[in-house]
Amino acid sequence: LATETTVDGVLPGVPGVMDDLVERAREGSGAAFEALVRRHDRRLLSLASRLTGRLEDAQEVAQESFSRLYKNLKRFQSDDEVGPWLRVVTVNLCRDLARRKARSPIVMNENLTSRAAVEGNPERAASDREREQILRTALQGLTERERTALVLRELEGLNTLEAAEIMGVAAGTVRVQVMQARLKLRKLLEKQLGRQSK
Amino acid sequence: MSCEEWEKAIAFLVDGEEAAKGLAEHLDACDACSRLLRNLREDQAALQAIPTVDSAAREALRNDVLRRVGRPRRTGRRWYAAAAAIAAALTIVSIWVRMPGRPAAPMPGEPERAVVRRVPKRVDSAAGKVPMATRKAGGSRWDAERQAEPPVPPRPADLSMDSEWGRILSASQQVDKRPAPRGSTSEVAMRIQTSDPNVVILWLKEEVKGDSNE
Repeated sequence: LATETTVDGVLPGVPGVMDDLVERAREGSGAAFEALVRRHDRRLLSLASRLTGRLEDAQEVAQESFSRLYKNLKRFQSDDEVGPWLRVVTVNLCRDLARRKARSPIVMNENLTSRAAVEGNPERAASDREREQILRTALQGLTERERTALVLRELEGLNTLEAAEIMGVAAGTVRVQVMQARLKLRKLLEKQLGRQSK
Repeated sequence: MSCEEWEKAIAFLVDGEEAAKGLAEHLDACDACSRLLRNLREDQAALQAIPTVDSAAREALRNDVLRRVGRPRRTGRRWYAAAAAIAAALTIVSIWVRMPGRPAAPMPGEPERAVVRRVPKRVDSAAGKVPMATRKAGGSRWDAERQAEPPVPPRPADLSMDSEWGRILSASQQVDKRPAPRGSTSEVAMRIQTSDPNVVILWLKEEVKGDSNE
């Protein structure tokens, strides 16, 4: 067994070794809880920002999700259960937020950096940002369920069954919602791009 | 089958499902539908390229979460500093307690009580005298005692609060041990010494003899 650990206290590729983070956090280890947060923060924040369209809202949702994780540490037997549970909580919180805000206009945040910007290509980054903004605006034009289904399938890389489990609906429902979301998004994008070209 | 109906099949195809029967032939023949398939695939790629959050946002989230659950990230030094401050405070207090010249603080215990016979409220302002008792002398023990007592000095009508307190407090030093008749009122001054020798609580209340709600 490998003995080197990463900064997160995690042995990559060795699933069994992860299992003591939840247990240690439950026993009061702040370092173990921080390692849990560190392990899931990127994915959770990305999911929340794609669903809400705003980094501020995503931060709020992700914060609440981790706070609930901390309060519910007792319910987990292993670290593997944490990720799916956090996703469900985050999706539900985003859904609640969307209902509260009822499609408020999206304000893009510079902290959502594009891959081109990270790779150091400013010209491509500028056009990417523009394209991304259009895409994010169009995403917010979908219904909350369509958006969630599409984000879980396309951006989170989950299959239909996994997405259905998180959303608490039948797999067939997710399949139809993703199909509708794709066609609706295309129309919204054509509308947006047509408005820009005028 | 119309193009509108084929659209759904095209969307399912993009989602990774098998192509519906006859779709391939339709795509070969229909420019609009083949363009839709191309566009949907581009949208899919664009969605997957939506940027993720940067490290600063993740760091901010981590800090907020850890602060919220009450686990500050750098706790070691703070705990040492707090423990050192508490130890220093305890040392100072123990030295001060054992100092020989320190005034001994009385232990708080039973409050001292002093009963002050009530001063008649009605004052004959013109004569400056207490009005005569309406009952005959010798009518009761209380009347006899009242008549035997020296006359109570009259109170000016415009007594200020300060002088009123001074009167009651000076009177409270003389404890009246005589049993007061039933139904008569008296002012009771209670002196409570706190652990600080310089702080004394004085509590004034009116008592009615024989009143169970005293």
